[in-house]
Amino acid sequence: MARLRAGEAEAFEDLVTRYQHRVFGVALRMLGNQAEAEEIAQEVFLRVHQSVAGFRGDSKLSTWLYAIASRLCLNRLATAERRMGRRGEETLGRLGATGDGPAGDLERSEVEAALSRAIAELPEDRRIVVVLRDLEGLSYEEIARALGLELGTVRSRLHRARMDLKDKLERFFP
Amino acid sequence: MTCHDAREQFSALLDEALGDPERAAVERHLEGCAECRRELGRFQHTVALLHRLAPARAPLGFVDRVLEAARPTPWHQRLGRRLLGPLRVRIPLGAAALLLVAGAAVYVFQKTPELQQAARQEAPVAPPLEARRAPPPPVAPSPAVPTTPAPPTPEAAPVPAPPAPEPPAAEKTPADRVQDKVGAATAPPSAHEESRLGKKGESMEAAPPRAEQPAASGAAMEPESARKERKDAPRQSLAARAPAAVQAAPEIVGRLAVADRAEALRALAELAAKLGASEVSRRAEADESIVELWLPREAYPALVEGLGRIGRWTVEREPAPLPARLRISIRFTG
Repeated sequence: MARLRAGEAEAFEDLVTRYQHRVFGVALRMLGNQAEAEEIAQEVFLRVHQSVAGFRGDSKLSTWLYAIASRLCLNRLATAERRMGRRGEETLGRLGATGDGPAGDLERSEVEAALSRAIAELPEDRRIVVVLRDLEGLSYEEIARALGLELGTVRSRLHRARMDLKDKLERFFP
Repeated sequence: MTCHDAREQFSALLDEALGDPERAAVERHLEGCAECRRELGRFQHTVALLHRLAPARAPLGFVDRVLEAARPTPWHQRLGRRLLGPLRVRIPLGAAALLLVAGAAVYVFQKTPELQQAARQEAPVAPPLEARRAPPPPVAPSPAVPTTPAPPTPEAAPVPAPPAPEPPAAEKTPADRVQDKVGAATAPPSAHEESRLGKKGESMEAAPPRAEQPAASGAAMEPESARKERKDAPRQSLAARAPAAVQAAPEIVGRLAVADRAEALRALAELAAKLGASEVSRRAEADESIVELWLPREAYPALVEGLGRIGRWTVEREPAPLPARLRISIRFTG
């Protein structure tokens, strides 16, 4: 962290190499579009690069990265263009069906494809919580810190998101 | 605890986020409720599927692209971008502005014959040979300072030295020789120069003066009021700098006795425009008004005829062979 704050290029490269897949994964799950996800992920690291000297360190570096990524994704989803087109969610739904490209490994079965579509159909505020918790493995506290939410709100949204997913996957259960 | 209450705790139960009393309460309910156990099973299955989803992988080359984008830009490139901006925007904008200004300047110049006339007057004009040999006119400065340029006042600065007897070639200063060349290139040739220039001089004579062409054609088409209005304003400035603008003695000097001088001056302006003449100067001296014109030789008879209609025209000086382009001084009396 000290090397990163000192502006060492190698430290920044290490950071990008270490977190690239996680940050990109959050963006891809939230936006559902490969190109947009890469754009947002790149923007996350550029912001870290610009402001790492001011990072107080009162949360984990990973939490800070997720916080930036989440905010950028939610901002992007809130833009008028996204609201009109809803292209990301449509693309994410197709990802589950086709399984091609880098996201192809995500969907190896019909159940997983259905799950991906169900995640894409979740409301954005629930989707980001379930992505951070069940796909990225953050704790409730880390999610609350990253999203600036109360712990109870995180717990509630996560529960609603999981219940939504369960309902949509009902036909696959015995 | 109801089924609804128990199911609300499923997430926290799976994530081990419940306190001991709450957990115990949920477990007690599950022991006695098969439906909630079944529901919990489905819920667990869903979360397990979520955990099994393969993580996404960033595309190849992602790290390199991020590092490239994060590389600091050298200070001179940042400065250049800030000063110049995107060239694809600045170049067309600059070119458009340049064309606009140039177009506006040409338009104004073409639509204002007085400007053309003033520009021609400010260029050095070689006096006709006859004028140099003739005694200096009343308005000409003293020949005591024949080659000294006028003081650089704002009005007289662009005007070359006043006419003076031509010094012998050997006595000419380099400045005189340069002025002669410039004058020969810009002023219409005198009769003497015409004969010296031969065919070249004829071709120059054939070309009408630039300032007179639009005035002659425009006079026939535009209404008199507009023409008068347009001519009146610049005439003031021409009259104001008349002493400095007089560069050659008039070939023809005459007196026009009129009853109403203001009316006669207006009539002369119309006549001059009709004949393609350009007014050189206009000034008032004592009880007289003096107007000087440039006029093509061919139009001189018509001018004399027109002057006869305006008043009583008396010629005081007129060279025997008329040069191709005449400078005429008309003194209004009465």
